[in-house]
Amino acid sequence: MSKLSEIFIDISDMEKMAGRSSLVHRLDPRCKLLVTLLFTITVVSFNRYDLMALIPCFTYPLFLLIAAEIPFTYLMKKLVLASIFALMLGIVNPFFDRETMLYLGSVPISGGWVSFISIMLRFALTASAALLLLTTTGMYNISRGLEKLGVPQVFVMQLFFLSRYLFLLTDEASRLVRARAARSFGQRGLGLNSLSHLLSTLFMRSFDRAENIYIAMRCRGFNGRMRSVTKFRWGGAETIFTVSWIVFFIFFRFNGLSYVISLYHQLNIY
Amino acid sequence: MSHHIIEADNLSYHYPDKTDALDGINFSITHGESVALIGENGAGKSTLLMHLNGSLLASSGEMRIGHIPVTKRTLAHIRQSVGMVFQDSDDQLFMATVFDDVAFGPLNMGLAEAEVKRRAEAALATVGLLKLKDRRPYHLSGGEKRRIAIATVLAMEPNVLAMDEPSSGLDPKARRMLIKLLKSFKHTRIIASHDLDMIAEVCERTLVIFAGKVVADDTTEKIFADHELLKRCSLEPPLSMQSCPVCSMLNKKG
Repeated sequence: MSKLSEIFIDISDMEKMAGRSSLVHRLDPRCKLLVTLLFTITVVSFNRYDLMALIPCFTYPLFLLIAAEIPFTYLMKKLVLASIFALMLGIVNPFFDRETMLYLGSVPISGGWVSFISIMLRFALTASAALLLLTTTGMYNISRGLEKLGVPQVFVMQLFFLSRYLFLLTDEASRLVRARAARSFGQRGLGLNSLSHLLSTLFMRSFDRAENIYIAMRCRGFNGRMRSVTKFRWGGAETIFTVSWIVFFIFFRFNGLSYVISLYHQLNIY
Repeated sequence: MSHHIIEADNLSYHYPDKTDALDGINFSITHGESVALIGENGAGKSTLLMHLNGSLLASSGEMRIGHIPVTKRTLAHIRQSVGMVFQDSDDQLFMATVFDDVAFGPLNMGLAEAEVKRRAEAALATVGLLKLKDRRPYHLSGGEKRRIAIATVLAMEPNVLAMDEPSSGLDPKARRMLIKLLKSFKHTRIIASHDLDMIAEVCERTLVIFAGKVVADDTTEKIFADHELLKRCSLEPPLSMQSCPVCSMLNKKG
């Protein structure tokens, strides 16, 4: 199977999971979007050497994982795949920042390694939160939630159509690649030259398709606004979800962890 | 109901690069008629269809739906009465679920929510696919997609259905279901297709388009019997009207 069709299956897997109906799935997309955003801001706002403070943040993705019954290995596979980008960004740190920061037993650890681990942790946190948002909400509801939160409709529609037609685009691309492979006898086509033609064909086709879709939309009375029958409902569950996570984030952002630890020590002393 | 009459009056269209696509088309179709548009590739069938709901506007001459000329100002009205089913269903199904797709047109018409729901469900029931309403359109089979695409148009309760190659790419069973569906409609139907066997079953009248002109306009039976005309327009009589090659071979031997 080609790489492209693997991605294709991957995305449709995610969409299928978004169709489940756990407690988290049923929440209004807006509250999940808000909490994910605040979570991301919290995670990236920590000092880059502050490893310990990041630990409590894992509560949020773990909570979603368990409450939404998403398989742990499924999420891990996606994370490992995406981690290459974070790895490339972070790996230079140990080379530049060689000053010893702490000792693990008798092994000196440099500031570079600490910040590298910090980057990887933050990546794991934010990427898993984003993936979990996707698998519990689905692209369509995310875009509608964004719209309801005041994001301009032009952006929302771009996002929505991207997710809708990505399937067809990968499908068309894999057909082109297969047709090229069938005529290139084990060699990589004619290298870059044929690749550029392939991409321009793909571009022209997408362009045509976009035009056809637009005509089809106009034929059914589209005038620049997407409407939908399904309504979002912000109830008690949404308020509790949002407020308790906000409290949680604020508490642990402003030294909540050290407070908890000192409280624990005090309790032990008395 | 003569107010749903469709008239093309000396309709011409040329592309921005000045090549002529349609050249002085005249016809008149009354309510409830089922009319086929046939012709070789590039003859102008699809271009003509696009004029029915103003996706393209005439360069000269006029298209009238129920005596209302198709112009920029009348588009909103025209598009409610002429439903267009496109050749590639993926172009027509762009929403996240089947139901949302079928509700798209009625919602844009500004109908109340209950009415939108009623129409969408009725349209899906008509094409026999109400059970798929919560599915995602891109996971469906070609035949299902085509029927959903028809439902998206039916939900707007149009008087006229214009279809571009409705049977292309369907397996025999899906094609058979489509033919049954098309025959059951009471709308005025205008169908552009190369599937002449389908047309023989669904349409009682046929317009032959050649080089942007209507070269014949008669009952389907008469058109398909005129082999000379068909040949001139790069067409062939439908298989069901050709003599069976196996039988004729047997006859020769016998």
